[in-house]
Parts: sequence; structure tokens; C-alpha cells
Amino acid sequence: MTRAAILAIVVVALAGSAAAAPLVIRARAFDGTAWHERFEVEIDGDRIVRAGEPTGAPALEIAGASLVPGLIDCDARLGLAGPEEELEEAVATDLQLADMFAPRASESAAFRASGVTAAWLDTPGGTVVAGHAAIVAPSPGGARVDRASWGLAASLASWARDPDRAPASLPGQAAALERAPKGDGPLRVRFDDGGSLRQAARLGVPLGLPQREADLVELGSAHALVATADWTRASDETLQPLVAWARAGRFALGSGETPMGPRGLRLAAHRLAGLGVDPAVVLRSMTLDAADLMGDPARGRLAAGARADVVLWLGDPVSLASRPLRAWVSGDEVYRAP
Amino acid sequence: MRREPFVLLAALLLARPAPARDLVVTADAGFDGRAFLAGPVRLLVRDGRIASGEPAAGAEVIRAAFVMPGLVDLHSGAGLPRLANEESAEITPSWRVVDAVDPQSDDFERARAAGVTTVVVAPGARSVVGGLAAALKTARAPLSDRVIDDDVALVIGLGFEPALGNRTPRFQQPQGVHYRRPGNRMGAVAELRRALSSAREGAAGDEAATLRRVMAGTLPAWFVARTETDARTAMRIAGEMGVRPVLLEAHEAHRLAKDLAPRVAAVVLGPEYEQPRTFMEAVEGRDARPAAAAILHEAGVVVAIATGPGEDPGSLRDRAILAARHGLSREAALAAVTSVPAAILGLGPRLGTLSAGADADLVLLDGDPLSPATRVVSTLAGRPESR
Repeated sequence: MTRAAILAIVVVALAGSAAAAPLVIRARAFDGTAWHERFEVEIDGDRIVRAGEPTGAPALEIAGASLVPGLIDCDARLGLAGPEEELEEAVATDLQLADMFAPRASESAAFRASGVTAAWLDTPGGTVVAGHAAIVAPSPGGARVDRASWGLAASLASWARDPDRAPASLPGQAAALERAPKGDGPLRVRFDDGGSLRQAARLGVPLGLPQREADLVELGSAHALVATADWTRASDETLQPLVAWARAGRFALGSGETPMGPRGLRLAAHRLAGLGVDPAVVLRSMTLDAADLMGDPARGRLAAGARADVVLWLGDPVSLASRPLRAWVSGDEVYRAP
Repeated sequence: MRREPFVLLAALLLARPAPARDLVVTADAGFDGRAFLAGPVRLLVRDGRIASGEPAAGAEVIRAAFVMPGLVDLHSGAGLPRLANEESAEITPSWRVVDAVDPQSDDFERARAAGVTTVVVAPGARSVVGGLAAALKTARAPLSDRVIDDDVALVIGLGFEPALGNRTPRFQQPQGVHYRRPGNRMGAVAELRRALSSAREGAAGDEAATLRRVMAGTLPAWFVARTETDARTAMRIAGEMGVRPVLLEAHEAHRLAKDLAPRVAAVVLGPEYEQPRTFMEAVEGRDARPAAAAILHEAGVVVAIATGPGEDPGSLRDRAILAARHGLSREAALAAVTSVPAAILGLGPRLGTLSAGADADLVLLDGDPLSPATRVVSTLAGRPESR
């Protein structure tokens, strides 16, 4: 099948006539938990107003395309101008990463084309609290701050310990983080070893890559995990503890230190699926689970009332062979494949 | 190899009820924490504790040559970073070492394999008041199930180590937190006295409250006192506080054994060494002797043998063997790693004994526990249960 044929758009209605008219998309779809061969979503304004069995209404259909909720990157480095951390003090709750969000044109173009519709900004975690984290999203022709303050950029990792600044120890970090005013949004806490994983799970949602399978017992059954790494460098062996966790526990993914930014999220997904994690579980981790973990259950799913953050893909987003065709954020089209 | 933690995880997720099956341990000989037991020893384990009475039908039976209570390492570095202190301050009474532990560290596995079922992890001596020591089981379980007590004692560092790294401003303006007292031995003592007196005068806050608990006698004070001088200082300060101290890493305590007996609660020995290996060992406590345990015991001092921070957490029994070889009686050598440390912790009925009601923490060996050729066959952990 030629590319032109695949891209042959069967637009039954909506000949650019009424901009305010609801958009109906009919395709094979992943609703956040499972794939449906025939599915239809109606978008009105910035919300999904109907999701489910096709009704036969005039709809946008693209042969071979799949409709998926916009992916959510739970640990992104994107568009932060200048050094990410104010290293003078260990706990800086008066700072907001949103105030530094100034992506270059190429960065925001890559963001729009990544299939990611929400990126939760964070820093590499060199201080206990680098500031308030922010959620950013693609917008038509650019990228914008969606929530200026959502959670803290918190870290209990060993590289946030500094004897010349205090705290210099894990208990000191944990105590400082406990005392810090938290603001809105769930607390993600960066960890590196087993001790900081335990403390991070006690204080919030652990953010990092578990180093040993044995450490996972400290997470318990109720906890989720944000797995983040440089997905281009992490060896298969270092991903094994995460794979073990993914068999039973909930998790979300972050692009973290991956050089290509939010696009690295799909590399993470591809690698986990390659290591034997069910692709549907991986996709759920980037959509529904990520949204729940983010404390925003209106995202990450195709359901009535959810935000109209949806992406039409050619192929399964978990495979690197796929690519986004069109993307909508809050009902606005932000990307259309050339 | 890869499946085991998954099984563990699955077990955790299913919240499996504890197996109620009785367990019977029989051995040709044993040690009950105080004395050797001749003849066949038979122990009933029910719900993670040693029980009296008859086993229910279908009880599992384990046989061994020798059985004794799980070893208690009163001063271990298991799971701790090299520097277990909040280095940015000298007086950190509320610093809980349990929060610094890497809970699933291989150290615990090594300790378990060597028959150690309980360890006390303590803050280091890099701060004058390091913080709160914790008693943990080594069993394979989440840390929250293994913590027996997360404020066993307040650890106070004497000697030169609290001054290490501190600088005094001479030609430069101070930058960073290390321009501070103490700069030497007497500075460390002065800082301690100052903190104690401000707590005594009713200073506000959690930290002062912890110091007041020590002075009220409800929280034991453990002093790292490596040299003879430090041991004498510890006795003096403890006298001012009105408490009987426990001395840790007391390498030179044997020099003043007679003076110590009536004035200290206990002396904890370890690490053992012939030649100093680190800077601190080279400058402090150079008179470490394998016979120290025997000398102190002879003088009537309560002696516990521990591995000490930075040492192999699996070497506890070797230390008891060494002490026995250098004059300590066989009973006292084994008691120094079982019932004595348990009593120092105030957990005598629960740990370091084979009496009914105690935790079923048991070590099974294939021969005499004081022979280096004897191996640990298995370690049973009572509560939390694991094998």
C-alpha cells in the first residue's frame, strides 16, 4: 500500500465549514486500558463528549490509523532555558520551573510531533527541592505551560547531598522534604538506591530507575513508580528490575535524561516491550496510569468528559516503527504529519 | 534467579497469611544464650516464636548438630553508607539512622548467612551527637516489618573524628558549613556540653527534647570512645548527665577495666584489628587487643562483641571465636553475641535466648559454634518470618 493510499483521508463531512462543529474520529482505538477494533470519539470544544461504538455519524477516518490518548511524559527536560537548578539552597520552594520554560522553535516542533500531549517538567535532582514542577503541552504552532505549579521537583538521590550546603545525608534530605510546603499536585521524589527508594515511596511517588529487584519489596503493593532514565544508554540488564515491577505494579514513564527529550518516551516504551512487558501495559503506563499518577484523571483516556488530548497514529505507539499522523491538545489540532 | 523477587513481590501483593504450621527443631547440642545445653535439644516454633508444649500433628521437623539463638550484632554497618552522619551539623540528636539504611542491601543477606538475625545500626562519629541508632532484623522482608526499635540509643562521638573536615578561618572568609567547632578533642566535648546545657535549660525543639530524654534516663547514651582518654571522658560526661553510658568501638577500654566496671552499662568491642587500616584507627585506639574482651569480662564489665561499622557484617561469629581463643570463656564468648547484646537493648526476653516466648530467631550449625571449621547450616528468622 502506498503512502498516499494510507494517507487518503476520507472526510465525509466537515469540509472546513463550521469550526465550532464537533469533531468525530472513527478508528481502531486504545481507550487507556485496551484496544478496540471499532471505536468512535466525538470531541466538542476541549472535551471528549462521547466515546464508544461507532454510530454511523459523519466522521474523520484514516485508513490504517489508530486513535490513542495523548502520551504523558512524567519526567521531561524540555525548553528550560539556562541551568535548571539554583544550587545556593537545598530547598527552594519559591521557584517555579514554569518561569524558565522557553523552548526553542525546533524543540517545540519536535514536541508537537512526538505524540506526547503533556510533559511534566523536572530537573535532574541535584537539590532536595529545585522548585515547583510544571506541566507543559504542545499548542498550535508552539508549546505552552498547562499548569504552572504541579508537584515539586524533589530529590532524595545521592547527588542532591552536599556537606557544604546541607543536608548531607538521606535522613536529612527526607526531613527537609517533609518540612517543605508542597503546593498542588502529587509529590514525585527522585531516588537512586534502595534507601532513597524506600524514603521516596514513603513521601510520595518514587521517580527513577530501581537498581535491584530486591529493593522493590520496599514499594509495597499500593505504590506506583515513575521510571525514568537515559533510555538510549540504560542497558537491558539495568532495566530488569523495572521489567519485574511492570509485571505486577503500576508505573508511568519519563523521558528523563534521554537526549531527544519527550520523544525519548517512545524509546522507553519500545525497550520495555522488547524486554517482554505486554505492549498494552506499556501503552497504559504512558496514558491512563500516567494521568492517574499525575493526579489528573481527565487525561490519558478516551472517555466522555476526558480532555480532548488525542493522537492518530500509524501503527502502535509502543513500536518505534509507528509515527503520529495528527494530534489534538484540548481539542486544538497541534500536529499534522507532512 | 530472576524469578525469586517476582515470587516475593507476588507474595507481597497477595498478602499471604502467615503459615500457621508448627516447626520442630531438634539438635544434638545447643546454647541457650547463657549456657551450653548437653544432650538432645528440642524446640517448638509456633507463629514465629519459641513455644512450650507439644507440636500439632503434621509439624515440620528440622534436624541439626547444634542450635543457638540468632546472633545479635550490637554495632553493625549493614546497609549503611560509608559516612553515616549528617555532616553539615555537629549536633543532630533527631537524625534517625534507620532512614539512611539501604533496606535490601546485600549486607543483610551476608549477616543472615552467618547466623546474625538482629543488627543495631548506629550513626557514625563524624558528628558530636550523631543521632538515633536502630535495631533491625536481618530477615528477608520490607524494612518496616524488620524494625524492632528505631531509637535504641543516642550515639555521641568523642575523640578526633567529629573534628575531621572542620576548618578554622585564617586567611579566607568562611565559605561552606565546615568552618565551625569542634577543631579538636576538647572542642567536641565542649559542643556536647553546650548542647546538653541548653537542653537542660529547656531549649525548644525536637533536638533538645531528645537530649532531655537521654538525661532523664529514658534513652540510653552510647559513646564512641576509641581511646583511653575518650573512655574516661565518656564516663565523666555521662556522670554529669547522670547516666551510665555504653561505650562503642572501645579499643582501649581494657586499660581501665577496673574503673569502668561500676560506671558503664556496657562496653561494645569491635572492629577487631591487628594493624590499623584506616586513618582513624591509626590515630585512635591503637591499643586494640584480641584479649580485650577477656580482660573486661574478668573485671566485671558487661561486654558485647560486635563487628563494627565498615566491617563484614557476616564476621560476628569469627570475632567471638577470636575472643574465646584469647581467654574469654566459651559461654561468655557466645553470650557476648547473643544474650548480652539483647540485654543491653532491653530486649532480653525476646532476643538472644531459647526461652519460650522469644522470637524464633535460630541458627543451626553443623558443629561447635566456636570452631572456625563449623558452618552455619541455616538461619531461621522468627518475626518477620523467612528462611
